[in-house]
Amino acid sequence: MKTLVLSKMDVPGLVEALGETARLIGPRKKEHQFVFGQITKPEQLALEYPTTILPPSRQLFPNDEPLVRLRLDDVAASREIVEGEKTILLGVHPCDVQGINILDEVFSDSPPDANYLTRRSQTIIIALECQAPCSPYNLCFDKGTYRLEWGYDLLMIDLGDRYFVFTRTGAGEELIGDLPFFRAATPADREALGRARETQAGSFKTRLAGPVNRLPNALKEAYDDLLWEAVGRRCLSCETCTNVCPTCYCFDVADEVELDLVNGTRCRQWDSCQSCTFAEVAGGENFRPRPSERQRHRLFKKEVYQYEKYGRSACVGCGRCSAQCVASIRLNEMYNQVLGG
Amino acid sequence: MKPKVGVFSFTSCEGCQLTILNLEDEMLDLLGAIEIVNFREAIDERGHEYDVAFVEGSITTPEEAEEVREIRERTKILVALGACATLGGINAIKNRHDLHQVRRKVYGDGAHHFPTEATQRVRDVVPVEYEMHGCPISKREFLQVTKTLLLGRVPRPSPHAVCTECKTAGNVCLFDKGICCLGPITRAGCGAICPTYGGDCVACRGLVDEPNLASMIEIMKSKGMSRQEVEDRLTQFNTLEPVDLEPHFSS
Repeated sequence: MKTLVLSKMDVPGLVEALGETARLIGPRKKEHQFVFGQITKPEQLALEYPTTILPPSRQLFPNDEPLVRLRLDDVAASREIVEGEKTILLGVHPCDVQGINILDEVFSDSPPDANYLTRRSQTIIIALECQAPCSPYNLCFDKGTYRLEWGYDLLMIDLGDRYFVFTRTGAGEELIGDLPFFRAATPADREALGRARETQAGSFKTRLAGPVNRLPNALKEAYDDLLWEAVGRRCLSCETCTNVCPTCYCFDVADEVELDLVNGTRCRQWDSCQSCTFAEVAGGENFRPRPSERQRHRLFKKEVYQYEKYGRSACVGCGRCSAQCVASIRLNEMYNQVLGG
Repeated sequence: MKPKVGVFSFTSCEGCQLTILNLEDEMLDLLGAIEIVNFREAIDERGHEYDVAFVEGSITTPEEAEEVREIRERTKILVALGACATLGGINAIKNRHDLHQVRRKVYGDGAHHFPTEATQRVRDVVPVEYEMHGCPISKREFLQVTKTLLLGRVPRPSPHAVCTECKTAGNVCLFDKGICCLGPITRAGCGAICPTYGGDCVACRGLVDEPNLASMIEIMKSKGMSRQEVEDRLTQFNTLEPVDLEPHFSS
């Protein structure tokens, strides 16, 4: 691991240099909010952003992704489509890096997802630590996701006029190897880093009424709680909570043919456990016909099922589901209810 | 032999027919796959038997009801095209008023010459194989449905709400800009075209299969909308889907 320093004055130069080597994706302003999108000019980059509408993990798992080029007259002539290009994700907040780490685990699980993994293997992540929580709904302090130990290639920490930069991987070091914008960190930079980290630690606070590791059992104990009925009465089943989640990965697959009725494409679309037909099976049986059951499932999936399968919660505490819910359903409030707060 | 297709129009602005004619890039391929034998906006000839009849517009006169029954007898597959045909749409707003007064207001002293009736969806008059929603329909959906029918399969409507397509597009939510939008309870399929260009969704594709109207009405109320405003919004295209506002506004 190297410790470097990047002056903020050199960020435009860095953006231009990186843009020449790969597709550069970073936070951009969209009206009064932010989205991850391609950065082709330095002025498009908005590194000082609270959060984005969609998480950067969706860049690795795009909606309507083509999977197979179909031949209806000769199925054996159908060909799989696996695409990817060298991509740099710049300015990714720690919670979102951990969202990508969780998707890495899910899509590497058997059977491995060639589309995701090909794209991922060509992606470099330049993370950016947050100095303060971005919304009243963040659970990143409780979840321990406001800082990063691993899962990134480079990590930037804002020191005011400059960024402190940690390199984590060989790919990260190689990326900036020949660029003239970085210098080795001095003792004064390290001191400034210590001060920044102290300020940062003071600004993040616990928002949960109990220890986060009690969540799996607390949820299990609350399986029949009236909380779910109350939430279900408000839920519109619009699927926003899952579409904006950094770790949701469910998808549906559909074929579309061309007008020659011979050639076609099989694509996958993001799907959602909140859709009223998601758990419908042949014969019309529906395992979760009610919004209350679907909302409960969403929380159990994140905190119980994935915890039991992979050994960690699949909620990184980014707060998007709560902040963007039109019906004001707040994850932190539901967690606190089951934790007895 | 190519399947014979007819396009018919009842009470409507004929915008859905125009949407088909606007398929400029795909028109030659489309004409390679089907034979259009009746299309008033585009050709003079008339056929008499159809494999697929696309029917735009709602049914508002006894003549129209008679004519759509005749089309039904002559076609194997009937697809209702656009909000007027699938929901009653804007035309159904008159159903909320006294029909005699409506006629007098529109036709004055000559009202008795125009035997207009309460607006009906196409499916209220004849059986329909598929409903393609929207005001107007989406080009993409028209092509998808046509190709699916040509393959002899059943088209699959989107199970999602407009919100899903809006999120997919990475749009700023209109609620975050203080605008009340019906995207959360409206059937997807339009690509969230209105919210993408800053306009609120007016539910021209009808409501999702299981709309949580009680919650949506409470949200509209919390944004300061009056009973009349909520009613106007929810019925603009969906008069024929009755909504009970009483429990939400009785003090």
